[in-house]
Amino acid sequence: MKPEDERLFFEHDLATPLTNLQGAHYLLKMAVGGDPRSADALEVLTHSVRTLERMLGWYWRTRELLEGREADPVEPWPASALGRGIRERLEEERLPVDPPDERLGKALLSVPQEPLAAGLIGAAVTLQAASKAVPRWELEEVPGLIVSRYSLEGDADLLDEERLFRKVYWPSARPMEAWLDPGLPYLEALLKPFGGSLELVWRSGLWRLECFVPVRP
Amino acid sequence: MLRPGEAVKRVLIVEDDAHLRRMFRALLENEGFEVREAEDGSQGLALVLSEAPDCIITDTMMPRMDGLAMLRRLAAVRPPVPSIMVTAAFDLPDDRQLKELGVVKVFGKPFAFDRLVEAVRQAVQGS
Repeated sequence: MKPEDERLFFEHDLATPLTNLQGAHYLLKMAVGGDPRSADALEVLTHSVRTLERMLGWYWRTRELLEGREADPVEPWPASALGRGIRERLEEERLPVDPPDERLGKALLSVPQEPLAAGLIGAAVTLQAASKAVPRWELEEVPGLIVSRYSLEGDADLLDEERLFRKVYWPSARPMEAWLDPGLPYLEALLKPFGGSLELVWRSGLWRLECFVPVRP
Repeated sequence: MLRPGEAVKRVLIVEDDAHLRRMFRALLENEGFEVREAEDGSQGLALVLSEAPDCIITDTMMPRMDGLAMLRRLAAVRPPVPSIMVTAAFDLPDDRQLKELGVVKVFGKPFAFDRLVEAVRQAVQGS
């Protein structure tokens, strides 16, 4: 399949059947009365339509990053704006994660700001969905890097590393309107061209995910 | 829903997907609107000129005549009708050009249907 045909498939052809599902779901919501079986079926339909839409959307956006199709040059911007932007989005969307503790200086970043914020928020949301616990989140500037660090207490079985890094979207118990819930593949693909990376470690009852975002020299 | 004494407003749906047209019809008739349907921009053009809808909901990419071409042809012969664009297209004209064609709102597919209903209510208020 040619790249332009693939793009049309994801950005156009899939859109109408997904829209039809949304519409049918909306009409069913109006029609379903107190029947518990119908309500159960509707709940499953709601979740499935949403999950399908998000999986396809984040898969496609991650593919575009991996194939270098989304890269427009970005004017360097202050890392301090990252923390502020994340806090604002968390408040606006009332997401089920705590805002990060910040220790940011005067570093400048070249990674696109909105995708980076979405990717870092998505990492927190993914960890929360995977573990059912809210991670502790820190944003710290160290020489040459901004580190976004997420910590979770738990035993070695709490997280499945292979699944965490494979799933393009991990459904959250509290789904959000905004597109701020990409899986880790999106963040990895975003950071790679800039020399950034992710690392997940479990040690002595603590899981730690660290995202290394290179700053502008 | 319509309030007592309120005139029935007419909405034209221009969309090549039959299932989606059916969704729109069910939704809008439930809200008290009168609905007309067209499969493409060419049919839509003819229906606007003959039926004078209060609002148009139009797709962009359709066979024979796309939504933008339809709105441009209409703008050449009559004042713009408040229009809502529902689209998966990623290269639309800028907001100013869309406004000149009567477009009051653009929804990217897929979208929340309750927001579409609200947009239609607002669009017909001025007509």
